[in-house]
Amino acid sequence: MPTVIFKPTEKCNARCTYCDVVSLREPKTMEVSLLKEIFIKMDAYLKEFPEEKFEFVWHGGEPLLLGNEFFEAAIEYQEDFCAETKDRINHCIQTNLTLLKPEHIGFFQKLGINSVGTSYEPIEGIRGIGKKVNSELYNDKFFHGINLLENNNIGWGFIYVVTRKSLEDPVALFHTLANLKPDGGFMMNAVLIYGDDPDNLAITPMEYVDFLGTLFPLWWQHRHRWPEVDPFSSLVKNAEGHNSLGCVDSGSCGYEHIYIGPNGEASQCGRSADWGLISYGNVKDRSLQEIMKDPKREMFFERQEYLMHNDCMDCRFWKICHGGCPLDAYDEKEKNFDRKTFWCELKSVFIEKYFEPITGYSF
Amino acid sequence: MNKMKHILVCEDNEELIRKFSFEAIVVKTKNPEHVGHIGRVVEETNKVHCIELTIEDNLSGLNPLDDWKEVPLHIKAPRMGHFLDFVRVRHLLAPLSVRVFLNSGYEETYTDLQLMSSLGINCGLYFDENPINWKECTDLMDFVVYPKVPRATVEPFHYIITEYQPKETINFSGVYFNNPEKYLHIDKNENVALTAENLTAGKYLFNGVEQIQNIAENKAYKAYFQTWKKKFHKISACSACPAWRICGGFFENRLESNPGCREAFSELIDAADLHYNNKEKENEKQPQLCQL
Ligand SMILES: C[S@@+](CC[C@H](N)C(=O)[O-])C[C@H]1O[C@@H](n2cnc3c(N)ncnc32)[C@H](O)[C@@H]1O
Ligand code: SF4
Ligand code: SF4
Ligand code: SF4
Repeated sequence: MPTVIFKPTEKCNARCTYCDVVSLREPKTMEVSLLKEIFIKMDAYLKEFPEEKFEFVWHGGEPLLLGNEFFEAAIEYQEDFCAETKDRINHCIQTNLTLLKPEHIGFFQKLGINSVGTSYEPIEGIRGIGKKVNSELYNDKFFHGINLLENNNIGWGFIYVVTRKSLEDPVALFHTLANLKPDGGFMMNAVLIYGDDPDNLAITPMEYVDFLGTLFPLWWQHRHRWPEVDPFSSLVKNAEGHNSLGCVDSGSCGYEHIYIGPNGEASQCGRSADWGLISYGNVKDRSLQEIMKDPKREMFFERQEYLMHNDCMDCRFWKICHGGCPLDAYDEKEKNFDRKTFWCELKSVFIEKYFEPITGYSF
Repeated sequence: MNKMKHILVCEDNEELIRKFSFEAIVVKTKNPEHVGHIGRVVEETNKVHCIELTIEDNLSGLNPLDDWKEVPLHIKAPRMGHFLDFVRVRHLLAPLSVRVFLNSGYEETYTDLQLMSSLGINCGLYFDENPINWKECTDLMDFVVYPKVPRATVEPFHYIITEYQPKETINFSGVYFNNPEKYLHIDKNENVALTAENLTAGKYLFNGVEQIQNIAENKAYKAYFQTWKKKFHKISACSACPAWRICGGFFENRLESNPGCREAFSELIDAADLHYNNKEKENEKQPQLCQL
């Protein structure tokens, strides 16, 4: 199932300290006319491939900054131009929820969104609104959004971004995340900082490993209390033989992803577009079939072939890693992706030092 | 008639009680002589959920009356009192549908509750401004959750252990008729409040019993169930507590003056987990019989 990472706006009402969006001088927003073209092209793709479905992820920036007209237009275009294929378009949204209004609930329902992805941070000064990154105000609005979702029986899960400040008391932090969502449903990702780091938020891969390593025994002991906590629950699923890999570990994102930006620019994903690494042209000029078959995608398959016979040859974690995200492997000089990433050590150390001894599983 | 089927908690006031019909009611009284009578008044057009009798003297000085047999009863006494006197009361309590609560502020309460439970009297701890002896409380919890022989229940621990679901947050205030999901508090002027404390503090939802039927739309009522999220705006003692989902911050206002809840309740949640898992395993083990 191809995933469309749809970024209709780069604008955001928040100023999270680690987020690139904040520094954009002229954040762009998509024209409604382009939205229409995208639905027409999705319909054509789905008609050509009757077995296929689209996962259509509304991303940003902050997607709720789009006016009501934009969502209304999406609903209308889907009805008008995807009359026969709309059941094969599965909408999802990643939003900070701070702008959620009752009318959005109606849009979500019409688009069939019954669970929302969001982001949560209980440490002050990291996610916030305004120049002072006001976290109190942010969380006030965030919880208002959560209440609105819950009152309308819409589920939610969240991303927690692990920064240097998270390392101060991982256990207190973990309990706060787990208590907020008693039935689980969150993932802890390492912060990615590639430029300056004025707030000293960046962490090394080993710090991330030890952060996870501190929490893993706690999670493992009580895993039926907090079943869906990633990356732990996915690792267990994989160890038990059920495939559960995110794009970074799947080795197959080359076959599955399309990013569409505010001006219709197509790329592999949000990161590849932000870093200007891979362009698949523009949806204004190309069909989704053409974009999905773009010859540039070959380099992902070639990378897999290369790694299997070189860097990752005989690695027992290959099935759950596949050399990591190609973008992290990009070499500016060589202009290729043909190497494993710096996360390799992280994964192997975490699994060998914490995961396998504690669980008794072995890859 | 209230559509959400809240149980109404009110004072021992016949005039007020006669204004209700078809309701389940908890009546709070301090008068032992009144228990049977008020029970009969409620039953005229309503249903007694429980009569809560608060006494100032020790339990051992109590003289249970014959007509108490007719009603489910909670007795709140500060302490148990002298054992030999209690033995006399115990015989009189035994045939009743009664649960006895003792005050957490007395050293001997914790062992007295173990004794009462062993002697077959359902009982419990109640908490007021008095301190809690967390060490004794933990021993009492152990006594409740790892019984060597069958015993009577001790609240709120029995409730927590039996109601615990790994992926949910539970509120044990219902043991004290103080959980707004299930109970509403009303005074003689028909002021309606979410909790006993709110009623005492004059924090009313509205005035007039007839309004209870629209409570599901009441803003303050709905907002109440979201107030816990305030604790998650930042990392707080309760947000970061392993026992949050069985406690919900019940002891929050004594965290500084009387700390120890976190350790005690963390042990309790582990025990609840164990109990839950054992129950699951036992269910799995049950042989499948054909339907007769
Ligand atoms: C870019 S935001 C867009 C959607 C929405 N505004 C939100 O915050 O959920 C998507 C996710 O990326 C995360 N994110 C942003 N900058 C990041 C960084 N430097 N490293 C890791 N994750 C980051 C955010 O925390 C959020 O969970
Ligand atoms: S809310 Fe999302 S897009 Fe906005 S600054 Fe924060 S992480 Fe970035
Ligand atoms: S863990 Fe390292 S060696 Fe193994 S597959 Fe991943 S990147 Fe390759
Ligand atoms: S046990 Fe104490 S710290 Fe834990 S949730 Fe209850 S009141 Fe808060």
